[in-house]
Amino acid sequence: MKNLIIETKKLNKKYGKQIVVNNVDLHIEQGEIYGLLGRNGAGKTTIMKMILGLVSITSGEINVFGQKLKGNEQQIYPRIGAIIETPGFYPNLTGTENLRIFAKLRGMTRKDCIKHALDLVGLSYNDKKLFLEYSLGMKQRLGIANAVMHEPELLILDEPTNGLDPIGIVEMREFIRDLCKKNGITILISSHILTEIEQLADTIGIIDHGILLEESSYKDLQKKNRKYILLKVSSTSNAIRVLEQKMGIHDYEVENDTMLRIYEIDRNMGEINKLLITNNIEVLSSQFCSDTLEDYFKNITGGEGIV
Amino acid sequence: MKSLIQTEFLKFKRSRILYISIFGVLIISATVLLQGQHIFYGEKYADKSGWLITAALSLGSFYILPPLFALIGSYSISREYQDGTMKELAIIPVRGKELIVSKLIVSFTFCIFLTLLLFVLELFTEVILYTNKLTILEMIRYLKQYFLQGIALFFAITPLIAIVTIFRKGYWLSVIFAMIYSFAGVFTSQSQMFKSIYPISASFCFSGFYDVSGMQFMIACISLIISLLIAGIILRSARVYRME
Amino acid sequence: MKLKRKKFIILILISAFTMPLISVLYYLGGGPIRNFSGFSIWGALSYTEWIILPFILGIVSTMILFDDRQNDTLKQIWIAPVSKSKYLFSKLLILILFSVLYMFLTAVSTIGGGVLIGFKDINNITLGFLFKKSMQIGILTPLAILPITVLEIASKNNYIFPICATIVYVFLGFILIGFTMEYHPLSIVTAMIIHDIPTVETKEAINLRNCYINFTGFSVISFVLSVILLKKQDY
Repeated sequence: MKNLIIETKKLNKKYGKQIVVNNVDLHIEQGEIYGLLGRNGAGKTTIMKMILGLVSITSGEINVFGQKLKGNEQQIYPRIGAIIETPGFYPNLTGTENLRIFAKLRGMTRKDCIKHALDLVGLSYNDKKLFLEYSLGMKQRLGIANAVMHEPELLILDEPTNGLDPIGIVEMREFIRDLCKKNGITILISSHILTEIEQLADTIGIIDHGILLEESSYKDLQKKNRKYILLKVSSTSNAIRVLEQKMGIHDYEVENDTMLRIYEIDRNMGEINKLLITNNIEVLSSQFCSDTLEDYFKNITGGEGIV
Repeated sequence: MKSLIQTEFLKFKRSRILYISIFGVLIISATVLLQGQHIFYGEKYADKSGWLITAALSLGSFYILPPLFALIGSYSISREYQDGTMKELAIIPVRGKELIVSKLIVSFTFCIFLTLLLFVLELFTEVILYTNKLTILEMIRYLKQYFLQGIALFFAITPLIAIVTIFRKGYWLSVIFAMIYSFAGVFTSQSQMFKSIYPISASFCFSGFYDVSGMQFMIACISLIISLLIAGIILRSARVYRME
Repeated sequence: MKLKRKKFIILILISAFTMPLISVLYYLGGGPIRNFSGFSIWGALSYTEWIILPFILGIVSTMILFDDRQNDTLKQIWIAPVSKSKYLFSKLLILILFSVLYMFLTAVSTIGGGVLIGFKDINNITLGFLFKKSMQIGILTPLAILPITVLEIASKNNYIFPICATIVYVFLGFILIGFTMEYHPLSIVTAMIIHDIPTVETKEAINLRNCYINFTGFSVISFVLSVILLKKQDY
């Protein structure tokens, strides 16, 4: 088993009577991208803030780099880079000047580290534009530059593609992947966008109403996703009657008047088609399918989908 | 701490607060000049040697300098919450209390600069515009008064700056309280008992503006130290980085 | 409604007790207060009207305008649409209401101070005088602060400049009382309040007509300028 970079044990956060994070046990391994997936208000950002000490812990424990977080913050935090919500910078300074302040406070002496970080995110070192004139995308990029400037071992990114254009999102995705694969940085990323997590994460943690419902590798989740035969027929009610009576198929789901899912995928699709046609039921299409992550998310959270 | 202080100075680059504060000091000077045109028993106030310098210090200390100092100090703390940079500093990590202390040190530097700027303006006005004959010894005495007054006034208002760590974006609350707190000194300075106890009027006792006994001077020093201690207590209990 | 749940407002309203409290201490310390009328003037009409209230109103109006910009609610307001003049008028109304409430609390605490001391001349006439003058201050002072509103709007997202301007504006108004009361809106308010108080002497006779004309002129021009500036700005 790989080293656990972040481990939380029965992590809880309460605001008055409202439980925002409920007994969450996270296990983030070294060198992986861990995607925390959940709706807005699920508790993703609160968990990240608790790890970074921005919000107090009601109960539970957080271990980072194998050490208890409490009491070891001064040793642990310099090894972490993070973006939480909207990155904060000084509006009266340029991007470079802002990074210079944070570099100084981090004790970074290398002169090229700021330029390198800005180049990585596609911002100019010599730009005279003040931060208050930055677009949303530029602000986000500067936040990423600030997070990676000191070459951290762990990156905590709260919705890092927020505000980026489509090209920017693709670039950010590749950038994050490279950071992990080439530099061996462990990355905890949160998002409410399924496709983002799908394309990036090695391990996915699904969180809903403060509860960690599932923590699996993406490969395991794919396996768990149900496969089925999707039939488009002229009448699902007639089709069900025939399939039940003639083939004994009972594991199915009706999507609507014409679409039907059959979960007994060991059945011969050709036989099914032939049976339906001979019983005067038109078969407009038939194919093998599997649940997407969105379907899985809907099932596990019992909700309408991710918003 | 050194890098904290250096970066605090960097954060003021292009910031208008300094220019605006300097403008405030100019207004004190202009107002005192205006007041100096009053004629009293056939003589203009401004024609009396040292009147402009002492009037500016008095007027500034009771009405303008404390709210300005409170504004500078509370702005430097409040802006981190306004701009969202506090969480970035927390992650570095920068110790919250050290951060606030570095801000107080930098604000203190600006405030002393403003006080001394006022001194220079008044000295210039006295000597050049009114050709009042001030001896070198008198100039040094006034410089000492201004310098010590600036220090004492800043000490007196540090509790009001410290409350910004609790009210966060309520920088202006500390300015309002500073305004009320400072002009209340007009009343306490008229009382032999209270003038060395109430921090604003105690600053005059500390700087030598008022001729006071040794005991009153000691009480003034204790009063100003208590102000600092109150600020320290507020800062100790403040949870600088908590976002809840 | 936007001021609801802002705890700061309660703290500011508590400062309404400041001058009455100081007046009590001043009286006990041997200050020149002989009766409740004199005590009322110190408690409600002096530094409260000269410095405290104008300063607080300047800061509160900066806060109200700045909050709308910072939270981006100003854009929502223009999209609604709400006209610029209506928006400003509503802000002015809030300030007047707040100011009247503040002066009411000052008057009440002045009465409390007077009762504590045991003044014999607390009667309908003196109480009526106190409330009348307090309400006059409460209504006139927000109008006297309108020139600061112009600066607040011109400053857009910068709150430092309006706050500093408030400090300077209030200070100037206070100093000018000793010179001429006809030209600075805050000094004019003082003139309008004290002109019919027999126990208060002024350096020069107060020309009420000039005061009214100048005050109206300042208020109207400031309001109009504020509306024009709001219309010209980008959001």
